[in-house]
Amino acid sequence: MKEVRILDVNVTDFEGDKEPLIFLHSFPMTGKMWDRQTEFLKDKFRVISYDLRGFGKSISNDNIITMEKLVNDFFHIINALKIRTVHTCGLSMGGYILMRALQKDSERFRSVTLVNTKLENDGNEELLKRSSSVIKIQSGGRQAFLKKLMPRLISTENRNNLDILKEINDIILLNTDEGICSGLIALSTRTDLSERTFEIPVPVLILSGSDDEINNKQEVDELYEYIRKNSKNNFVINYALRSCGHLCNIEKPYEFNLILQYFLNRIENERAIR
Amino acid sequence: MHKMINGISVYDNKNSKPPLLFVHAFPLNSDMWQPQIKYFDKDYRIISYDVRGLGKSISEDNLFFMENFADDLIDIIRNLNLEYVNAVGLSMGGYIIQRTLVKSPGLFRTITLADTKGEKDTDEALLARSEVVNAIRRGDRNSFVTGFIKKLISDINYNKPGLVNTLEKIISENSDKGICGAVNVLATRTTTLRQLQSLNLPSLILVGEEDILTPLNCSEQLAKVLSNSEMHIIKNSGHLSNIENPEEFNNLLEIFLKKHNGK
Repeated sequence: MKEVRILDVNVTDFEGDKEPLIFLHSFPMTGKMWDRQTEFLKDKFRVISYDLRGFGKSISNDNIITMEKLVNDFFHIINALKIRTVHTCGLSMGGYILMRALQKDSERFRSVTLVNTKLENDGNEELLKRSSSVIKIQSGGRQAFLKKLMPRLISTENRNNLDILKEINDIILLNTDEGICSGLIALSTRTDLSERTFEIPVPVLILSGSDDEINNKQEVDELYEYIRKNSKNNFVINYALRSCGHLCNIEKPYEFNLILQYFLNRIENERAIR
Repeated sequence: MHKMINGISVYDNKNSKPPLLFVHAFPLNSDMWQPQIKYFDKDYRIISYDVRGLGKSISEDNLFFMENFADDLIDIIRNLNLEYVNAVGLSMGGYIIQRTLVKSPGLFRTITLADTKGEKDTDEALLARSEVVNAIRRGDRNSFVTGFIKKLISDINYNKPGLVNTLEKIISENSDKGICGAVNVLATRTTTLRQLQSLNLPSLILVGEEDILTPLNCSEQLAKVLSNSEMHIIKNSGHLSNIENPEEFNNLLEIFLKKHNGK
């Protein structure tokens, strides 16, 4: 395993002559949120994770970030690592980045796993919520902001699970106030993917936590409908993980890993047969 | 006379007349209001300021939403104890006034919205703005400024000597980060059309006849939702109608202000 810096972005590459699989984290986390997945899959795949620009170790003096910049970073990273096509997995914000990247250049993908994410961009209400979060954090209210956000990231049944809370909190602690604010702004600059259609030539796995408070079931169904309609490949799975919320990979790592592994293996096995 | 209010550089002529406050366009600063500041100086208490991150209103991180800009405007009005403000905003200035108006309608006597609109950015606009941030951060500021000035003013005014230099000089006072921060504010603003519908405030809508950034239909839409509004098209002008045709701009503004300030 090695860490490389690609245009101010800190990338962890488990290396090896295997099919590459890259993970994109959610707000306000870092690449570390995927530790259980990278550990589980690193023997079969060349696993890569990174801190999105502005988060974790990918902080620089350039904090004015747009969603499109984060999308371009994704392409820069796979180019720099000399990866032609890649399996991808993104949760929430990571999913937004992957969907836009898929829209820009689907030929670089081998598969896409979208976890607790949605098609639409921010409406007035969300824009104003993000605004007030930024204003709150800028005036020293980071703790209050996180105290409100943290419970929403996990299912009700895990809200008193100190191990899970600590694991999430420790990751969020890796982010600066500025990084969190620039992430909130970047989220608001994303385009509305539901507005136009594009052909999706690769297998897609849609994963959701059944108790996710941030993305509801209707949003997941809309995403599934959209992907199914635009899929040229006809290999689309929509799977809800039970008894977990937004950060379902942390709440239910075992189930998460198994379904992801099943999806990836099926693709590679089919390729091998052909 | 300039003073700093919460990091914002504010000009105030401090006379005892009705307040007339100007909010500037992107990527300019309060210097763009010179033709109006001179013209209205005797009859109004003139206030203008550099939007946060631009001109002399320096920001450390330049991370903000439109909500920060609206809160700044409210702060200025409260700090100077202004009542029943006549507010004039062009383009970004118009967005700032619209959002402030939605938050605190009681602060204003009249609003003038020039070369602006009520809808948030489309996907195309969002991607174009992202490209502006990219260009500036990779050091292509000059080509951005040159290209943008061409869009700001009409072709005829672009080819007249003087105006391009004036605009370049104003823009040169803004930092790269300040400009990029403002781009993201523009990209993440809300749609105000529905909220404006319930207001009965006297409103003047102005638009340059050759405005390509916020064309006539944008102003028509605003005039339609603002029930107590009048709209005028300014001849021989692109997006920067207050600079491109100050005579007509000032004249229309003066008539409107007199009507609503008991003169």
